Amino acid sequence: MSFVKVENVYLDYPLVGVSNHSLKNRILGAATGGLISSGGSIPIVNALRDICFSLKEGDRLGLVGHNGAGKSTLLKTLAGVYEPTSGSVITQGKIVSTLNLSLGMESEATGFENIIIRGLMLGMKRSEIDKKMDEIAEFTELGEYLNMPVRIYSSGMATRLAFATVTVMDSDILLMDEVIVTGDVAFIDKAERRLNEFVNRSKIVVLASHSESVIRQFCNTALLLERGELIACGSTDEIFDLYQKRSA
Amino acid sequence: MAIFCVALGIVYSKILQVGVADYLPFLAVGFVIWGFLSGMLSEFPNLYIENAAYLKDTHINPITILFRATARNVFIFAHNALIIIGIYIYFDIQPGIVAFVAIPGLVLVLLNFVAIGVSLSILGARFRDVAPVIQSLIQIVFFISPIMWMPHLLAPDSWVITANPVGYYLDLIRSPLLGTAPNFISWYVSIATLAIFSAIAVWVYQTKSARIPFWV
Repeated sequence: MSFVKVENVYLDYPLVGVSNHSLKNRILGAATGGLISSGGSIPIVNALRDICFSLKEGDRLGLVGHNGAGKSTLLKTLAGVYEPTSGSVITQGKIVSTLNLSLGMESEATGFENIIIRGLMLGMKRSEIDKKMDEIAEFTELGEYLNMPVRIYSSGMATRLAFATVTVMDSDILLMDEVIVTGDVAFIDKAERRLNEFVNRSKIVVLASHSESVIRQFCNTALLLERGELIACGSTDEIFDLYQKRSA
Repeated sequence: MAIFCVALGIVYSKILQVGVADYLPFLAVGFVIWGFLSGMLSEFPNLYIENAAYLKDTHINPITILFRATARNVFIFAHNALIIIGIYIYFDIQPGIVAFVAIPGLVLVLLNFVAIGVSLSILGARFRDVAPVIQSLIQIVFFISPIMWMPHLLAPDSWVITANPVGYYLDLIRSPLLGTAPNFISWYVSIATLAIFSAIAVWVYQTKSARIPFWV
């Protein structure tokens, strides 16, 4: 049984700037009792404030909000990248996050090697990857190119490879930051079908997007964020009405 | 690296007035080991900055990245160790069975450096001037450690050697490779430093590792 439970999550994001990056200044400051110091205190952004919600199997949640509202930060907190300053995030089930599609691409390694690296990074076992290798290779339509280093790939080819590898995963909880489907006309149809399957296979989906149509297509509930605060949570229609009213 | 060893070996054996057959193997083995240790040390402070993409986008234990870098350095060391084989053949050195003592020695030194790496990589992510500081330290330690000069050229038990842990690490790996057993004191000191570095590593990791994604 997979679930996500977010309780009173606050996240303070420290902005460690250039002036705070020096150990020498810190030591100098401490040694002279603050007489010589250029650091000053580290500014903190309250990236998330008092976020509470819970998701059960079958929930497809869309995150809605302006740039900097905290959508990506919330996704990263769910993924376990950021540890909340206070409050708790409890998840059960295998999390797959597609926050950065081309993460872990080694440009000197071949296509096949990259599939293995990416698969391992996503938490697949080596035997699992071997089993799915043919399916991935076929989907990419890269053929012989898979034996060549990724550095000679065009950006479209590299994206195909990453997309094919990620979407083969079986996840309980899927976290997506914008849906990225690229490729030529023939490929885009195929990619969309595959993405739909991928999303439908997941038990819980959290998707952040600026596109209303994407959220309406994939999600059954939505959550409106504004400056790190949860404004409302409800059906996609309600949330988009509210969002348009507030931004008007 | 091989050219460096040969050139320096010939010139410095004359400066220090030690026979080439004694000096060059000593320098070459020491320098290969030093290349390994200093390579790791200079990589640690920038480790998480260079791998920021992993830390910011997936839930990954930073130690995984540390192990990855350590493994890469071990492979590079294994390649450079060929120079030692070349030295054995050219100078007709047969270190004998004692050479295998270098393996536990290497493991112990490696553990020390992984422990240092845990703290140093986190410190380097928070403070960006740690990398250049370490870089100049590496240079200093190279000259004050018995790599280019032999310990027996100094007065016995000189503090120059006894106070420098790198001297003990070198002894653990280099001496067996040259056919003599390392000093017992080298084992004791290395185990003691491992305990200290590990304790620091545990503390730094437990209190600070969750902050890394915010810093890089």
